[in-house]
Amino acid sequence: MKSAQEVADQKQIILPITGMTCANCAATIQRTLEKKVAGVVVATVNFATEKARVEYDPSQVSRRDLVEAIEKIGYSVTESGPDGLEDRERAARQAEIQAQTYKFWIGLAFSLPLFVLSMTRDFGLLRAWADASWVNGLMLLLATPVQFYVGWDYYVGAFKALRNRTANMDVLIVMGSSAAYFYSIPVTVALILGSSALGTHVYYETAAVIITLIKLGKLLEVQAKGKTSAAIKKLMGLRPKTARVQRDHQEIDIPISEVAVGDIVVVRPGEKIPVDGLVTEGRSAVDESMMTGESLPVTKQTGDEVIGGSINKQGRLQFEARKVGAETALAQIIRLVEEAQGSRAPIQRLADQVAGVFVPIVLLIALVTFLIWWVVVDLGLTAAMIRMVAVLVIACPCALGLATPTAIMVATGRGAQQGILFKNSQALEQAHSLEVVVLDKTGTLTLGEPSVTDIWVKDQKLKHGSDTAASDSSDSSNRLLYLAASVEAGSEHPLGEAIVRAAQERELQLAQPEEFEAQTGQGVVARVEGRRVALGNAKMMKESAVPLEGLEAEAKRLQSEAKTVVWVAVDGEAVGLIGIADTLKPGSKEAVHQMQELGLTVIMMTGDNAATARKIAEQVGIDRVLSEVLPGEKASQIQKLQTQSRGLVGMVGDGINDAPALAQADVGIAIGTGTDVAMETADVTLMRGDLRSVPQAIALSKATLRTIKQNLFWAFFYNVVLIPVAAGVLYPFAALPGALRSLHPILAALAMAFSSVTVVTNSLRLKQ
Amino acid sequence: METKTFRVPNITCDHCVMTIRRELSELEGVASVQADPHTQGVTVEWDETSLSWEQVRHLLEEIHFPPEDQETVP
Repeated sequence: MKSAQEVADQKQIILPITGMTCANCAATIQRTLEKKVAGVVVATVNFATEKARVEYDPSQVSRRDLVEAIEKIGYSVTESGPDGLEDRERAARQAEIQAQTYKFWIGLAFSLPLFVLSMTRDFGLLRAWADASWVNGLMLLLATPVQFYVGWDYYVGAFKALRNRTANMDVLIVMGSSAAYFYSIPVTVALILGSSALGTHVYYETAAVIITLIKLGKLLEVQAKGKTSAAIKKLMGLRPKTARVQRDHQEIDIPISEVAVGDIVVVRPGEKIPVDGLVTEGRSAVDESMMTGESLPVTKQTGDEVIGGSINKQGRLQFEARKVGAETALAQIIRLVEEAQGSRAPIQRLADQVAGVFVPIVLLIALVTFLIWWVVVDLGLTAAMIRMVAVLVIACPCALGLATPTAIMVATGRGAQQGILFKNSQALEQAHSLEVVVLDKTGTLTLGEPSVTDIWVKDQKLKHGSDTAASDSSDSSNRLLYLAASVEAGSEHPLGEAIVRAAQERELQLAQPEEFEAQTGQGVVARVEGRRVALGNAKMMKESAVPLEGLEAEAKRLQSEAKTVVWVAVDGEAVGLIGIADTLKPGSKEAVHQMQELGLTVIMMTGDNAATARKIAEQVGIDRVLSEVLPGEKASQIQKLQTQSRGLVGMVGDGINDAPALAQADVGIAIGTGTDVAMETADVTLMRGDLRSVPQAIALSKATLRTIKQNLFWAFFYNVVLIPVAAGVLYPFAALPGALRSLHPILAALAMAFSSVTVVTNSLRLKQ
Repeated sequence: METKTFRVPNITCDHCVMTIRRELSELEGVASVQADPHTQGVTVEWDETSLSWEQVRHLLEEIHFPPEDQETVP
């Protein structure tokens, strides 16, 4: 029988194993671990999942020993971490970019000479040789690889869409280019055979140029997608690589993966806390802003929880590891981000929506045209067929491939100039249809770092920086600040730093403190100009028997405003209070107002209690507040808003704790000074930490969408207007020029060129 | 010295062969071990004064590579 103590001392780890070729291998490893390695209690090796689960006694054997035993019998252990999946995704994306790039260049290499040849011939710039029938054959040779190699994806996409009874852009591209291409083949053959009965003009260049241009758009799109998963890599980068643990009364550095639940971990000032745990010894201020969004460092002492990835600012901490590996808060945030990224519904592309209506209509018109000229007017099969194909060719919107990418490219460039980075075109497109914007409080609306907001000197309140303060009371508040800052001079505690910074702003010359003494976590005491000055919390004052009368009411009021109160006592008498809080960023109020003007519902989200949250919201003019939201709940709050709201929900935040919420939101906006992670997770990154960039970004998005819609209009306009012409509507009007009565192919080409030029010019206007 | 050649049907790869060679070599009295992953044949040479066939057989069973019942004498 094992005693409870012995069971508690056991540890369990999972080792990913490579090199196993059969089930016997798994059995061999299992047996080796259990029989040959002293201290292993149970080992189970799964051949299918390539993992070994080992329960062992850490006092007898370490992870290193287990790894060595496995390696000795010819297998290897891979270091844990989900990076493998990451790399595979990256490789797949890279391969797609390469494939698209390759196809585009192939397309260009064939289309360009084809286009030049065709256009120069149509405009009569070439000598008579160009009209020889073999030139058409050459064109066929140039167009064929573009049609079926470069354009193969579109054939596949169109087939799938038609099978699902929908019509997307692929269908248009395939219909248009195929019509031009397949119409040209019998014409070419007939011309070579010496007959011009089927016509004299071929449309190979139309087919090839359509495919190549749209391939360029596709390539730009694929490249934009490439950077998404770097976000997860950044989050992983937060994980410390090693941990210092106590083993056999010695502190040793071990890889983070070897830290087991129950290990005593030691963290020195300035170091990262490696895993989640409970403090067993020491006292310190820990910066958890990356994890919780809490801007003020949190005091940690025995019994408090610490979070892996946070930074120990001050003292030495010793804690017992409680959660390691995939269980840690950081690992869970990583998982949340992955899930939120994966759960996002793909948006319906605007062009596809238009095409969805456009394509069936064009097909119908083409069919009606054919029937009218063949059956009703009885013009003959060939003439009817040529009319039908003319409709299809002219209907194919060449500029459609340019409409969206050019606008997006210009707008992203314009955004970058303003310090607004859109990660992809989807973000740029979606930002315009936002209806709700959720603002994180700490670091977004506020500065995210503590500063002195109030200085109270017994019975007279003086607002810090206020010019209404009478000079004598200003002197007394300066006097208080001088004493407090002198004590804290050289302090590394964030509250102390805030006090010193406030004194520096008032240009106070500080004195050198004597007999400096830090009182564990409660405050500091020092002698300044011979007087004994104590700074700390109410508890410290009580313990050193300093009477609190006359200041308690004010202290309560400050606390109700979510301010941290520092008591100042001189020679055993409480003389004043210093209120410290995270203050609003300049521009926050204006930004909120601008967003409301744009018709957006602005909501503030914070972990603060309802009363505190309400106060801050009032200051910036927000009336909807989500308070007491735990870091892990932010994403689900966003999700809730998404189901409630008819429009899209945007989230503005910084810090890693916002990452899942940013990813969940339809448009995640990371505000500058935010960590790289938030930036990578976000759809939009604001380089300046100014909230006013948010309405700017939304306005830019609206302008972009307007441009795209105009572009789509121009992309279709010439085509739509010329469809009836192509269909032969003007044929009965004998007074009209022949080119219009039966549409000349050059006119069709011109229309396409015109719509392309119009679209590009229109996009460039976004620069202004 | 005693030598025995037998078939171990469980052998599927070089890892299996390595395992058998390593484990048998660790037995006191075993002089040499040959094994072939393709024929699944194993040849063991041991000192019969310190080790019995039963002990060899027992170890092979323990490591999941039991010899085939029919013993093949070369």
